[in-house]
Amino acid sequence: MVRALRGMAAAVLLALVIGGSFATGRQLRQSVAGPIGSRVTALPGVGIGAGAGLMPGFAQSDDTSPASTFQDVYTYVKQQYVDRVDNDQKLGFGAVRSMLAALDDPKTRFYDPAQKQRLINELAGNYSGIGAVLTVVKEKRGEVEQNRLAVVAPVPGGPADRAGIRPGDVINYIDKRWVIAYDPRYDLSQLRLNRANAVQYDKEWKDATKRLADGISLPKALDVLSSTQKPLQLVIERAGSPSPISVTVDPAPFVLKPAEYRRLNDHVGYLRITEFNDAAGAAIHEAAQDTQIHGLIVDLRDAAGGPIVGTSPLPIAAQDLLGAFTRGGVVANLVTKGNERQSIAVSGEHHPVKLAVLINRGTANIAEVVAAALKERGGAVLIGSRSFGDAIYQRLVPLRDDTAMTLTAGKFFTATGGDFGKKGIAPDIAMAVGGPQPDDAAVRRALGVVEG
Amino acid sequence: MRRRLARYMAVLVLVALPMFVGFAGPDVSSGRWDRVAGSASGVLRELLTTPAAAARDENTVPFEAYKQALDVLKHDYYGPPIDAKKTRDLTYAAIRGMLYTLNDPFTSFLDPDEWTQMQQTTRGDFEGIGAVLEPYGQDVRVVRPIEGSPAYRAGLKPHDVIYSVTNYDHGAKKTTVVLGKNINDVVKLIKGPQGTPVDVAVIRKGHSAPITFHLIRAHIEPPTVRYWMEDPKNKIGRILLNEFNEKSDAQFDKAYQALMAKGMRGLIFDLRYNPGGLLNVAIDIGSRFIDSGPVVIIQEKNGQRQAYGARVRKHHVNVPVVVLINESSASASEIVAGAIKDNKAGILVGTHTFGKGLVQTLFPLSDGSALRLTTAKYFTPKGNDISNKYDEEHRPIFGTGGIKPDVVVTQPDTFTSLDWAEENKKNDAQLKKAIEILRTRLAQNPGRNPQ
Repeated sequence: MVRALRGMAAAVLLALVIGGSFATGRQLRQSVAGPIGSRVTALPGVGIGAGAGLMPGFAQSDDTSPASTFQDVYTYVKQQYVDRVDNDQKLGFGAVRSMLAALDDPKTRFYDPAQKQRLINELAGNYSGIGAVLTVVKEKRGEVEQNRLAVVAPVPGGPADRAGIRPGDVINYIDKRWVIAYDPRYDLSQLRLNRANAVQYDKEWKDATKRLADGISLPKALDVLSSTQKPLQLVIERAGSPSPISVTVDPAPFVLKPAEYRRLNDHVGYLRITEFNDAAGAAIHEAAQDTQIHGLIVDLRDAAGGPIVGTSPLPIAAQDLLGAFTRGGVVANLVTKGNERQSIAVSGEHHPVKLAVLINRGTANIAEVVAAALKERGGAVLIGSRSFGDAIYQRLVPLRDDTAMTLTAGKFFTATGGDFGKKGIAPDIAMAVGGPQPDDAAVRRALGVVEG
Repeated sequence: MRRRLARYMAVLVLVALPMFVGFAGPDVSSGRWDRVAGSASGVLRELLTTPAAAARDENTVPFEAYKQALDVLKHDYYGPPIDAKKTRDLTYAAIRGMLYTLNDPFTSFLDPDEWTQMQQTTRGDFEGIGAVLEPYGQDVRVVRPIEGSPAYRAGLKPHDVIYSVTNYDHGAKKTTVVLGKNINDVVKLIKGPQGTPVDVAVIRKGHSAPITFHLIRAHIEPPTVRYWMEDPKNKIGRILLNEFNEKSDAQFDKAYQALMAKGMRGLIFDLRYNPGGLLNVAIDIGSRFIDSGPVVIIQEKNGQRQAYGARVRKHHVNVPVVVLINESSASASEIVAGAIKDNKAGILVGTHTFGKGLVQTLFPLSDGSALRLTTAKYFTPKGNDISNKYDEEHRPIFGTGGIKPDVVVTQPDTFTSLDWAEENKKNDAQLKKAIEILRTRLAQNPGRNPQ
């Protein structure tokens, strides 16, 4: 699934390296003094040194904008490539995918029509694949920057959740294929000081190359996890677990209600929100209309957020919730391109009840905005564990040919200007919590708070 | 690492470039095989008249897609500003992504830096210290010094790992430690004009501290062909070909004659690690091994196939031949190996070859970058496509392309060097097999007179 599919990935370039590494591998010789140079005898024919001046049409053109370079390459491909190239859409998809990947920003990426459709479905609560919101976490280990595939949150009740996958888990292997996080040949630098044994070094080199060759690239891994219909065996790394954990996730398409409301007793309501989409509106309205309650528990555990559709940075469902259960006014702040600051305000009929909000590591992004607003503007008590710490305003932008891109469009701050990026939001009452359910210890604790 | 591998590719395709440029041959039907000559001018004219810019279409689907996404970034991206430099970088990434969809690892885009560096590498390496280098893990090491070069005379040895390079710029001494550096950067530091000094320090097994060599750069013309009598008792000669350049055929001829003068009865033709070169030279050398018929079949974009046939050569190889090949024998090497195999003109020993049956052309672009594009394919005389297939992640599927040896011999793990010095021969199982095959063959035909 990968609703947010926030990970882009070392992407295309990484895969290119894999292709390239076989070209000649380490065996290709290069000479300081020459063999290659002699080949060049034929090159003056193409005017290698002349560069741009060679081509008529280019020579007269002072148009050296990147755009014209793009067009020239396209034209050569169409006219000169050995095979007929007629899928222009595919060329365009490749161009945009790679361009966005070059930003090296996991939140800005391209969605082809199939990926876009899956995303739209998932935002509506129709999940496929393993059912987890994933992200790519950059992590520096020694000198090497690694891109690691991490779980923001499993979708409650989904295949990943049932298999025991938890927020923060890092997926290292999919069906025994290593999820390529970096070029393992970097590890060989460790052997540099110990190079007396050339045989061992060569063996290590071959092993590393094989590991890379047999691995699965991040974009591919994201696609597989989001669309698989077959069971997948995953090896995950979990903080606090000394050894890797192997789980099998048996995917099945399933529908999750983005929100549900119920009474816990005569005076306390329980509102679970996993996704702030339009379909969540009904449950939120139900809670807002329930005049019998004095207290409300808002369960935002494993509410992992996702790209925001439409022009409003705060989804309507979140506006409705905050309109009903805060004093109104500014509930969050947003900084966009060029450091432009804007305040996000809501209004509505205030329903003054005692609030407790359940959060955990899987509470991310818009759910963190909401949790902070309920606390700062509605007096809510936050219970559970520290939230994920994703403050990026990520928009879903439709593009031509039924494609889309997600875009890093800004950064959220809380109503009082608090920055929860990376570090997350700390609970007022800290306790270990799992995924959302209406009757666990965290809910009982929350019940005590709102009834007390 | 990513950068480094990209550079290897650059070198590889450069090898393939002259194959196209240096080629101007007659149609197979004309029968004038002797005129397959390396004149660049014909192709040059073709390139000059390519109407790419004129035909440029402003409203193509890929361009609109690229432009739309770029506009979104320019207007709304929250991050480092999308300024002119960033726009250029993003565009280059878009171009690479577009080319990536062709699923052809030999087609690529060279940004101005890469293009400049490629030209410098190719132009400048006639002057230097005369050491063949190879990447070694993260580092760079000596494959072998070229005979007679400053590196050779000073005593650089195979397997020396380059530790540091010291240059003297107007008397100012500057030392750079190069461990972990890209091979091209190391080459750039070592290269320089004839007559200038450079110090190279190397790490050598058995020495606790780097050893420094003081060298004066020289003009170097390394032989592309090396030869010797590998088995003097049985008169088995060996010719090694590093690449297919304009001197290769003449040098091969000289080597062959020299060995024949010593009574050679069997020939080991070593094409291992030979990345290719000029197409016409491949045809020339291939022609020395086969009697008649095509050496290679070229297919241009229009799908039309042309066979390029064997030329009548003054010195035709007429002793039993074993050709050594491995996974780094590519392009022109595969043409020759394929021709020999299809014509049963020799026995191929070693491992499956690289699998590159494609010809690239370089197109310089207006902003100083360049496009390297696959423009033709070639096939062996029997019409076999030797190009590897690639999986969806652009990884070659081994065995789908390349030339299969008649006798498969994999090197043992102890074989770690490209240096053919005596001490390494004991680990060279492929060479041993070649000698064994020729000995057996010669024993069966003791009376054969090679002349």
